[in-house]
Amino acid sequence: MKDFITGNLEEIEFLDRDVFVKRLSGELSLGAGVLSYFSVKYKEGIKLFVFLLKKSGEIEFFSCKADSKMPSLTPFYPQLHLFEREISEKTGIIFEGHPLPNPVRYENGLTASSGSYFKVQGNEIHEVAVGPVHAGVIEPGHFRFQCLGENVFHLQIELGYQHRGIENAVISVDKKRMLPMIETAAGDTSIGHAWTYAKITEALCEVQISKRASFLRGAALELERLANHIGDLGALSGDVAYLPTANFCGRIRGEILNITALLCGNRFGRNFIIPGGVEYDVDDKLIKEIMSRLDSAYEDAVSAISLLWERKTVLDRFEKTGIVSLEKALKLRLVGPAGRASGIDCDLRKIFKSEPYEDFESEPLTLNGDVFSRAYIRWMEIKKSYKLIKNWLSRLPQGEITLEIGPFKKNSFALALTEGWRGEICHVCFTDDKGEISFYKIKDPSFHNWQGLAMALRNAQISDFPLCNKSFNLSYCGHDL
Amino acid sequence: MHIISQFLILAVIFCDFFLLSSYSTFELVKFAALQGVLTALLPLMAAEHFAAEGIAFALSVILLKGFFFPFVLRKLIVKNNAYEEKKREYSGALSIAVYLFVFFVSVWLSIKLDLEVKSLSWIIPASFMTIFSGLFLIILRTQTVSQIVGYMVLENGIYCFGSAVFVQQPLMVEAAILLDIFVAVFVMGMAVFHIGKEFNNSDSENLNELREETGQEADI
Amino acid sequence: MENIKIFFQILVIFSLAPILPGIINRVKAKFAGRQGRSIFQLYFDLYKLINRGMVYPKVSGIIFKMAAPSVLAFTAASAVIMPFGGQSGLLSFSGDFLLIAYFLAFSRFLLILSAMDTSSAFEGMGASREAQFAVFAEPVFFMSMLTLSRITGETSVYGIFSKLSPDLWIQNAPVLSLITGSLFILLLCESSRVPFDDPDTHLELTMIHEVMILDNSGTDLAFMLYASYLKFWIYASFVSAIILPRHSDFFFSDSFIYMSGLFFTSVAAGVTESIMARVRLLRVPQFLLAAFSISVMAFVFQAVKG
Repeated sequence: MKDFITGNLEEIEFLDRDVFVKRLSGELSLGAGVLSYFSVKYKEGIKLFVFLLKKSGEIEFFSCKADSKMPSLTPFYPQLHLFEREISEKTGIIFEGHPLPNPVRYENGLTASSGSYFKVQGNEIHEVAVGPVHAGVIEPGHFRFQCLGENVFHLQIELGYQHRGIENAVISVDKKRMLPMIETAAGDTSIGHAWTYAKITEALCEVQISKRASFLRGAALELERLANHIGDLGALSGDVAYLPTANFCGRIRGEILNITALLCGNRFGRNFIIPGGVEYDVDDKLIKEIMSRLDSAYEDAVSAISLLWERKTVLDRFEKTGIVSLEKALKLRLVGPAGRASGIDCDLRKIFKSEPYEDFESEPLTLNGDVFSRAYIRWMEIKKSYKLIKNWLSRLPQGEITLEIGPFKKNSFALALTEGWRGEICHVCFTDDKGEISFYKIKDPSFHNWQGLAMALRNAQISDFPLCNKSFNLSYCGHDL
Repeated sequence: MHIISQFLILAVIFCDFFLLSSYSTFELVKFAALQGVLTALLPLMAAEHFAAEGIAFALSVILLKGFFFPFVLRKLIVKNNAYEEKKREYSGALSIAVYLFVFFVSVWLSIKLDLEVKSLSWIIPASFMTIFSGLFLIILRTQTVSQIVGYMVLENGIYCFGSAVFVQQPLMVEAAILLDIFVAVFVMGMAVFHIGKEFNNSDSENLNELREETGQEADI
Repeated sequence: MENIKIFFQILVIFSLAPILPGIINRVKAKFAGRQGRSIFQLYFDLYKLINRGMVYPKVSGIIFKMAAPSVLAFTAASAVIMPFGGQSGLLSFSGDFLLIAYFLAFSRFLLILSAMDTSSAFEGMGASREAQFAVFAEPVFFMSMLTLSRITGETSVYGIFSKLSPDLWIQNAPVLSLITGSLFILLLCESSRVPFDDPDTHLELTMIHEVMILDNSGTDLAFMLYASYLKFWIYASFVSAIILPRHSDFFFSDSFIYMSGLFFTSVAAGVTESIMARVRLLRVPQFLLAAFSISVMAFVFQAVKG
């Protein structure tokens, strides 16, 4: 199946407000997941669009005209939580019944102190506020804990400090600057976002890229997955002060990034995937070099990471910490490794099996959503990515690496999905009657998963927070755009 | 020799600690096996001279308790999916308290008993401790595999006691104990294997419930 | 001559204290495959800190200002009671290990007060964890000292250290090895090493000791850090005296043996830190209780033997 859809804007069903709400809640109650739910401002008013992924793998979409007050579906379907808040922030629509109607990105001059914070009442309850200025080198975010001693009752996460206004900037600048900007939506997922953008442009021009280019794109995405997962496992062991794995994984991640640099000159894979294919080709000599470096890095990673699963003190920290149950994960619609660790089958590579993942298979695992599961899933994916890259590079078919991109279809829409290393990346694009892009919506997988982190800390120990945070490793700037 | 045997006894006592406080059945098997090997080495260390049959016997005990039994038990654990105790009624602190209590009782008992022991004065309390730890394992644990391990630990303690006290024909006594434990593990292992096959797990709490259910059906 | 020896040993203690954590850092680095910081790096850090100005939080009061020098004063007072090599410390009297324990406890009390005076959530949490672990750590020290004094028949630290000898080891090997184990665990706990606390972490929510000195700066911070190095020296001396107890009645060879004991203890602490992960905060009391039960067992071993 194809992991993108495109068509004329007229094909999107335009429903009445109440019919829209009923249909949306009907689909969600049958187990659909929301891919994107956003608002577009027209001269006539505000239209809401929703794209859903049904259990069968089909993508369904419809829209409606929004009133200034809409009923909120979040109390029944928590996966809509941030989407409704985002629409509210951008358009001023009030979703009645929304449990926490805070701004998402604090645009328009608002700050995090203007949001409301859920407080637990009690004599011995104390509040601990962490960030946005904090002692690590990770991005700024505000975490407010309601604690009794060491036990956390509630964690509220307020982000927005990295808001750069990418969605607006992307449509107002020169076409040549679109790709570099989208690549920086979340810097460590550059390849994922770039590929999604490329899928959208190829859908809008109805261009089919060559097999060679799609194999190379796959290799780049899997290299990105390898580097980040190895780095994450190193960071997790650093947090429990298990030094051997922490030190070795840091170095090995650097080696994988260097392999990506061999492909395209940039360690994070920028400017490799372009609309129409890839920018740089590989010859046999380069393939041999990449394979040998990959082999040695993978061997080192195996020996460093296997230590983790054998050390009882490490497992004692990882197991039963920060549990997100399958029920909660399904309600919140967690994606990516965090979702799979709680038991949800949400790998887009498996669901769609689009090029070049036609033979993608993965073994089902019984995991219970704790830090150990999220770490072990990463380990499984590291092994899988290694096999995939070796497979593609060893049987690279001949072909053109770049094809010409023609003009976009007029008055059309396109949606593309990619399984980035954090999970489901979704971009939606509308074109106007001149064939220019009039609207672009980026959704990073972190948009779904931040609530997962808040759930993981319920009734957990506050000293386990850094470990849980690292086990999710979500993107602050991917959320803030 | 004397110092080595003192350290061996210390190690046996430490094994009891890990046996009482561990929740993972794999760990229980590991420490019971370790304890078995240590108790097999004790008579060797304490003997004035090395007899050939003593060494041969110790080697066979090590093979049996250190490799064969753990192998069988590990297979059982994987088969019955019995990796850990489901109910944890006692915390780590409580298990330390139980351990200290067992220690004091063993020391008091051995003072009261006042046996004439050759050179290793601490072997009697250690064997009492091991016997009590085995008993506690059988009583407090719900996983049937843990209970088998408890029986093995009990036999370890008796073996230890035997090698300390019986000066005449020590090998005969020890061989008898070994036969006892071999048959027991064999029979219990078979039973647990079949229970596991039938009911898909071997948690004795579940088996208790089953008994009550069938009782009700019989009434109807 | 005696006075010169005492003056010399006090000088050695105070000047060599920062080397021991430096050795630990070096061992950790080598385990990680890195070259690592120099052993003398902590001296440079202390020098840098002393030359900086101090900043006090606006919401703190007199307690915060006087805490750092007082902590150093009490820890230093404990350090001078410790014997060195085969020599007695500045003071030596019956029951002086109680004085050492209570000086250290008082300096911990001042540290907790100063952490709470900053009215920061992090430091408050660190203070509560520190107070809780102190409750479990004190009995370990007292039980071990009780057992040691029963074995050696002496009641002052100098007396205990001088009576420890290889012959005593041969007679009481199990008891002394148990005591070494429990004192080593105590050393790791009191100097906030893995598995109790991660000294290299930057995550305030997980810290126990370092979070209490987050708001100290400049000379105050240098005092606090130096006091923690002296504390490591004190606890490491106990371990060193037990594991390398030879006495030749010759001052310099005794001192050399004593210092190599300290060196081995630091290396052992570094190795433990490199191969173990840090335990959950909930498990730390259990760990300390385990150390306590080890020392109780040693005591009972010793008591019944006689």
